[in-house]
Amino acid sequence: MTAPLSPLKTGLSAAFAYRRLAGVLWLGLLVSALPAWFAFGPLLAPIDQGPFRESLLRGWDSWAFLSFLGEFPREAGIAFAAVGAGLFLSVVLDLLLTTGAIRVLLSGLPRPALRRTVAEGAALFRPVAWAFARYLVSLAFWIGLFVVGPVLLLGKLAGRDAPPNGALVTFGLAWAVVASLLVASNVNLRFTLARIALARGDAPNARGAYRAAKAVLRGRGRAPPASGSSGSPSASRPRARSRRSASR
Amino acid sequence: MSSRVLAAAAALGFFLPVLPARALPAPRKIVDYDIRATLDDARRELKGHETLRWTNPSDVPVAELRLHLYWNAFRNNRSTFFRESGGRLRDDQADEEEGFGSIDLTSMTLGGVDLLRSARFESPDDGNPDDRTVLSVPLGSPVAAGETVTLEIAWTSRIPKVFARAGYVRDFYMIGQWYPKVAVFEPRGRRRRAQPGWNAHQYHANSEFYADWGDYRVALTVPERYVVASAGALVKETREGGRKTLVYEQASIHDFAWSADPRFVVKEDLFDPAKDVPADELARAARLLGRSEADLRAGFRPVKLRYYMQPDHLGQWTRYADAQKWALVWFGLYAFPYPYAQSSCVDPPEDGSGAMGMEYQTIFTAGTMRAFGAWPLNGLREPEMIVVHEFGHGWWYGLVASNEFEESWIDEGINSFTEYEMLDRRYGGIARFPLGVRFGSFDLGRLQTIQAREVDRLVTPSWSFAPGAYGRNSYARAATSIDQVRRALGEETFWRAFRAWAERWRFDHPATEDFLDAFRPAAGGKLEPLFRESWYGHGTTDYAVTRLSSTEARDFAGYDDKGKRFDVPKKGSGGKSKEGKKETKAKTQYASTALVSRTGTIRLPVGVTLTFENGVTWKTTWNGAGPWLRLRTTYGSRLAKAEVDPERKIVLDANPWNNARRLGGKQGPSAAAKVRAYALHGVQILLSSPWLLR
Repeated sequence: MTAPLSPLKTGLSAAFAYRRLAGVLWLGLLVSALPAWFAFGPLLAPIDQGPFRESLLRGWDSWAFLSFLGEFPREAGIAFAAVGAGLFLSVVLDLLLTTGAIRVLLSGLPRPALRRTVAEGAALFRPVAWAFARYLVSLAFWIGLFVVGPVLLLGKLAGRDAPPNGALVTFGLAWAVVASLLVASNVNLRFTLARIALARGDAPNARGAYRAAKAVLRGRGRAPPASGSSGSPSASRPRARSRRSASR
Repeated sequence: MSSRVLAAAAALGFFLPVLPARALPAPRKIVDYDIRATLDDARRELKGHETLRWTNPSDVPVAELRLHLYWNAFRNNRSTFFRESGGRLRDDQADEEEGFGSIDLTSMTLGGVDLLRSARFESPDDGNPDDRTVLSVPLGSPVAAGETVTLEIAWTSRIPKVFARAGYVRDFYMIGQWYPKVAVFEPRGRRRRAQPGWNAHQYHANSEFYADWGDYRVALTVPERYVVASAGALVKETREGGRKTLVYEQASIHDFAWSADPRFVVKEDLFDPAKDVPADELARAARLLGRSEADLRAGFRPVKLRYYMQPDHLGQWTRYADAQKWALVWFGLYAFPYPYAQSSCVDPPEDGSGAMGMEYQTIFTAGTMRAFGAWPLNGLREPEMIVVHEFGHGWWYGLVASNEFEESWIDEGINSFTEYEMLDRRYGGIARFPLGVRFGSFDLGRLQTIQAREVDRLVTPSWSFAPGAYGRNSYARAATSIDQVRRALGEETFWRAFRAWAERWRFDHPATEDFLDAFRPAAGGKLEPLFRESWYGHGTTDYAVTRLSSTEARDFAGYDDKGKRFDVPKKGSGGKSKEGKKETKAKTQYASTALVSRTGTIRLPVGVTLTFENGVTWKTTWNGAGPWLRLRTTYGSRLAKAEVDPERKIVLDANPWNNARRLGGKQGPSAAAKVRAYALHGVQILLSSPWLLR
């Protein structure tokens, strides 16, 4: 019997073993933040001309921050929009790069790290995006079923005049927190396994990948490798590839 | 506790308030209420009877009384309150199915003579024929000056569903403005009034308080399961047939409120001046006020504090207690000590948020949410802010009893000012987070002030503000204007005048001019533009550095009076050598000009600094009288920066970002780059958090 794996330990050792790959993943985060970086440039330029330069160099200035929001609401709006764009970009890059990184790890040919990661990620982007969409839908569904539904039911049982600190409502709140965490971890796990299944070529599409993930969870499927370095390249070569990847 | 012990304790509490702490004025008692009320929680009804004794405080006979029947504000959607609020107040919406409430007098007699038949409703503020909140009661024979009349009044009330301060939600009740209450007959001179007369106002969306002092004895009968929080001290408790009757007494107040909820968990604490007044605060106050520590300490007395908590907020009662004790210290030092023996704090449930954050005498409502008890929201000082603000109204509305209808800035503005001061001093602001990030209360008030689109006179009747403008003008703008007075006068001068004003008007009814008069002797006229433009005008102000230049000063060129010609020296005439260049540079003079301007009508003296590239700073003060000031100088270093109001004394400044201008390229590190880097780091943390979740 093998000893249980520590995901944190495994992840960290993989990151140290494949520094370039880890760097590529970090680049995804950096690139996601770029819209905000470019938006903040002109937005913050008045600071060096204005009266708050010295105080901001010394540390925090509550009035500088608040009066900035009051004086430059349009610019602040642009900044928030840029942060929103960054969030969207980070999701897209995560879908692209993480799957690519898994593929690169499985292939055992980790260089050139950036080009290979992007290429592999791009080849699988479509099924991964579908898997992500399914992830969102299932998250909403299970949250609705196990969190919103029971909380509403408990609210009904408590009655219209139930106090917000009554036993049923309090239980409902605790249930919502616990059930949300359970649902999220389950749905997240399925999505992660589905991504790995896609990267390994266990399935050509999102549907198949989720089926493979389900099989793994039931102990019938192929378990993910212990780490990226385990197995020979030939042993971990994908059995099936997506259409785009196969035709490449 | 036995009823005998309770009675003894209450008697002590009853008499203590009239003992002046430091030869401060005691109230002139005009009214005396003896109320009996029964709560029918199944029918959401209150049945009450009161014996009202009223003394004519003026030197003229009074032929009629005016009574406030304020729960008629919730009678229907035609009342003045509903018309003004649209059934929506403080982010809460009226429930128009169950929300209506009312108060109906069933009998009213004076010496056995029925007064109800001749009584009529009046609407002195807006003439609304549908408003039923002010009742005019002809007395038959006038009440002579100084004479006391005794009325017997019975009534029935439908309790409104709470959305605006008073009412019920489920089995939580907050009962304020609930009994027939006589309005204020102002004698000649009261609040600078020329002729005596009634000052009775309808219940408005934004104001409800102005009353005379007196003594209250209130017997409340409620189902036994209820825990009752009330103004005053409990002197007697009896139980019979599943109901209990609680008798409360309180002297020298002008309002009486109570609350009931079976879920209240009661926590008790004691404000002990010997323990709770910090030595450093006492020393600071003594220095600022120019009084001895012993003198300041003498007025303090122990105060029994009770917190009626919702079970899910129980963990936060110590936050309430800490804030209230701090308020007792601060007010005791900078205004005058709390004169009553006890105070009750009601914590409304979260579905009764309409009752949160309300002030009544010796009782107030706080407000919090479960979420504020846990990280990271416990960094928000919202619960402390509400306690400091509402308990603070015990001074501004309670003990210094202004007319909220006509001069709402006196209670809300001064109270916001003292709230900001207390929060900033005690908690470092309204919110404090790791890495030194904090938001100051005064800063937040200033932001609200400069964002106010409609700038109304501070001295505006509460119902006459522009729609939506009451809050910003009566609270934040008034507080910022008072802060402006402080900044102009300096800490010592301001606080001495402030405390003297508070002491003078304790148990009295001040007007706007009384407050402004307190600062006039020290101001010597320099604050009149501020008083005129803020309190009685629509003034704003914005100081800015609008132009800046610094060029090499040109030597004399041309012909002098004798006809001798002087030529412009050629560039590089100092020689090409290093020494020559140095010499030329040392000799170079720069003509620098800075243009400082003021837009808006509030003219205040302001500091201006010019900073040169060699690090020398030149300071001056501009009286702000004209629209602009040009500063010109010729000096051996280039001008690097001009700044108006470098000490940030003009807190009413509408745009602080134009207060400085710089010449030339950046010198030293860039604050923009620093903030940009921090902001990017924050964004990266935000972007990486979904990864953590997965």
